[in-house]
Amino acid sequence: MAGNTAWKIELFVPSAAHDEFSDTLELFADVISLFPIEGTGETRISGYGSEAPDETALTAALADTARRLGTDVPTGDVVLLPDVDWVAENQASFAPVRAGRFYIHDSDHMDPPPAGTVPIRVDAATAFGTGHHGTTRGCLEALDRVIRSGVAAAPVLDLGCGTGILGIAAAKAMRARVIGSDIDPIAVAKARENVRVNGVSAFMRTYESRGLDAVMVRRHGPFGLVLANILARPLERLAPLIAAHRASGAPVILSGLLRTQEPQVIAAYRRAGLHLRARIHHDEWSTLICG
Amino acid sequence: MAKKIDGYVKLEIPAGQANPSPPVGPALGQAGLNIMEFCKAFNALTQNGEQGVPTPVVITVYQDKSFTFVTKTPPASYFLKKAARVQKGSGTTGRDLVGRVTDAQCREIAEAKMVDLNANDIEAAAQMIKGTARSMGLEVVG
Repeated sequence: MAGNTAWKIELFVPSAAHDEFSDTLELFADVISLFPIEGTGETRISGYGSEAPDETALTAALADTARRLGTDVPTGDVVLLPDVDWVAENQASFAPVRAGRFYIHDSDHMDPPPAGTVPIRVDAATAFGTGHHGTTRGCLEALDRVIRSGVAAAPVLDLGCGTGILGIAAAKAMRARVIGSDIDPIAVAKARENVRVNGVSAFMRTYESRGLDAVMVRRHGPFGLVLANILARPLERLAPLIAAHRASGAPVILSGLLRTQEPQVIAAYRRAGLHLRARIHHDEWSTLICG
Repeated sequence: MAKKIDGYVKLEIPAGQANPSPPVGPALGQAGLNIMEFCKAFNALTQNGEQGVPTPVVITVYQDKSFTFVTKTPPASYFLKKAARVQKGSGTTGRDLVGRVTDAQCREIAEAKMVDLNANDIEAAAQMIKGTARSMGLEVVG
């Protein structure tokens, strides 16, 4: 791995020949993007790599392709991209979102939250969960629903907590003890920081754990509400464990699965004694409320 | 009405292991895509197969910056290296042989890659795979 360095080669070619030129560029870059420029008949091709391309070989290859196609030789502009936090920059362009009573924003969007909402501040990082994704949004709406209907109780378990967004939402809205767990130490560190930034340190603790393996996580159970926004396969595997560590009648919110994966997840939880109560869809993503 | 296509991004990512480190992050970011959303969607789609297998992906970017993507079969070179049990192909094609693959293995690879190959039948596809094998410095034996 070459750290955070990224090189870009940019060319402008006739759109009719963009496939051939992009094939040529593929020999010098790991990622290729093609964007036809409306009304010009030209396409902007960009190649990205983590190592500097061999410019002499690149020029020769482009000339060769141009000769074969009978077009002008494009000049490849090679630049070293600034070392910026691409994810943070990227996420800054995604505005605050509302899901149920929750209002999720980052430090680039610090305007007062809309009246009556529970604000949560999460900065995009290498951990998953900024509220822009259908799975996180679905979970927040499901959380809003189970709190409203009075079936959720303390303590709360946020399994695969990522940025900690769901646990923080539960802590803020329920003023209840929340345990967050994640297999990824980077996510745990990020979640702890977010817990502090959101002023819920008195309520939420986060541990590094593979599923429910860590005693530190298990000893807080049985849980009155379980939130698990992971992926279909691990959700299926965790079904018996989640069922074993949930308080009698407690709701379980499952997400991270595609709509097409619903049947296998629902079946796994039914075998563990939990039944589907509701589902929320956002695009192709599904959130299930079981109990 | 169909959504208007803005452009395409082509890349290769290990199955189940998309992450925003360069060059994936900058490429998707400059294309205006939500980087984390793509990584999550890709990992969800590829989690059932063998993890870490290089998976070519073509992302279609729409004008509202939403996207869809398709994954393709791993490159022929990946299958060939696996079949020949070598780490990499020859740097000096035509001079040095780095290993060998059998005719039957090439045919098997052709079958696995048939959906993505521009070939009319298995025979033609197997010929393409053999061509790739030779260009990598692998001897094709009956």
